[in-house]
Amino acid sequence: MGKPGTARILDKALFNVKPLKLRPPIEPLAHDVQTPENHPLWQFFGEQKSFLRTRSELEDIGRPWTIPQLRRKEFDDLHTLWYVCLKERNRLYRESQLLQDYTTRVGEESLDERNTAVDSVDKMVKTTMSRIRHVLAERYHSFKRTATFELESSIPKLLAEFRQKYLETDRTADSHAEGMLERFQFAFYGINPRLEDNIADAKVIEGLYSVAELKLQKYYVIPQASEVSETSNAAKNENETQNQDIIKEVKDIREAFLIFGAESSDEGILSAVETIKEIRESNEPLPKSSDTEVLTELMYSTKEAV
Amino acid sequence: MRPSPISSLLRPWKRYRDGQLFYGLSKAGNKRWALPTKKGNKNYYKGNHSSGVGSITRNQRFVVNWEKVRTYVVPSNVDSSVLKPLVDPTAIDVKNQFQGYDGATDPKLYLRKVMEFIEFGESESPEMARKENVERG
Repeated sequence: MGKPGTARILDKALFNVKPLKLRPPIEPLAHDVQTPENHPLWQFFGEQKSFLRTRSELEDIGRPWTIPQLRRKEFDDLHTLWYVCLKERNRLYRESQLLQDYTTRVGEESLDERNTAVDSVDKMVKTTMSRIRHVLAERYHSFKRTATFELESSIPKLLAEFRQKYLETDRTADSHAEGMLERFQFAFYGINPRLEDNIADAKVIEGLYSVAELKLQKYYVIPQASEVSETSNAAKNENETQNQDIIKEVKDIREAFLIFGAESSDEGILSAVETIKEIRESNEPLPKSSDTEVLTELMYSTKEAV
Repeated sequence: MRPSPISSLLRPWKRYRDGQLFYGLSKAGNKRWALPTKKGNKNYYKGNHSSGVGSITRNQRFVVNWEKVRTYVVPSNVDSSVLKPLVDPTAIDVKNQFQGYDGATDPKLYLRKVMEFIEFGESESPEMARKENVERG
């Protein structure tokens, strides 16, 4: 009887195996390990990528942001600064842990001092963060107070103030006036400069009317009919027909939309006015009740055209 | 002096239908101890501010309610930003005075700032400008 099946197979396998070559073991060394420059864990290190910062590097590093300084920053800046602080605190925490471990094991006093330096920097960064929260809370509360108090009563006053300022701006500074109007429509009615990005609601419609009216008043030069006025009846008739041509106010949303979209210049408004005149000749003004529908349609058509 | 009703002196005040107390073990005893989760009865839920983001269905499946899951929005420019967590110690120490206004949260100041934004946009308005080390705020 020969060997059992498995043993036979094993014998055959061992016969085919090449003898192994033994090599000296490779010690794991730090300089053999190459870390890519953009490794995400580098975020736990400073710009110099040093293992531990020295005491002099940590001292006189700066002072926390003050509240008046932060009040000048916009939300996005504060949001970024918050995360910048958070990352810095992560770095400091890493260093502090290393120092703590080392001092408890070795008991070196100089390192303990360095740890207090790390802690004091951490405290300052924490102060910055709490002040960011303070400033944001302040903004929130002032918004709330404004929304509940006197907003209704002060809006007409502010509108009148803006109207005066807008109409008084020098004609040489048209681009400034245009920017003003853009910010005004955003602040008061929440209208984006690209009209097709808005939703046709009551507020947007209200804004459209008031912006169109402002533009018309600023840029539309009413043709002087009085110069030609004579005592003769013929001239009077002529005057009346001309008066019909003069457009003093916006009658429906279609006209408001046309003027809103027109360029902020004499020529731009004039061409819009010409179109309005053509429309008025053949059509009755649209009723106010259909404003939302008409505006949605108009916005949709401009979106398609783009 | 009117005697207070006994029910208002008992702790805890509520009972479940099976006679179990709403939480805790006894209605008498020292009230000044914290009630940890291990001490409460089966109805006691303390939580650790980290759970409750979903519910278990009848078939013992956990369904996550993503509305309740916390999300952290990190701005895209954190690493490229010029902002630093601390400022230069020699920077001027500016004070806000809010002259003519009732502090930082005054609605009038808020509306004034809106009007200034409309007029001047990103650039600084004359009222906002710093005089020596004083700002309006």
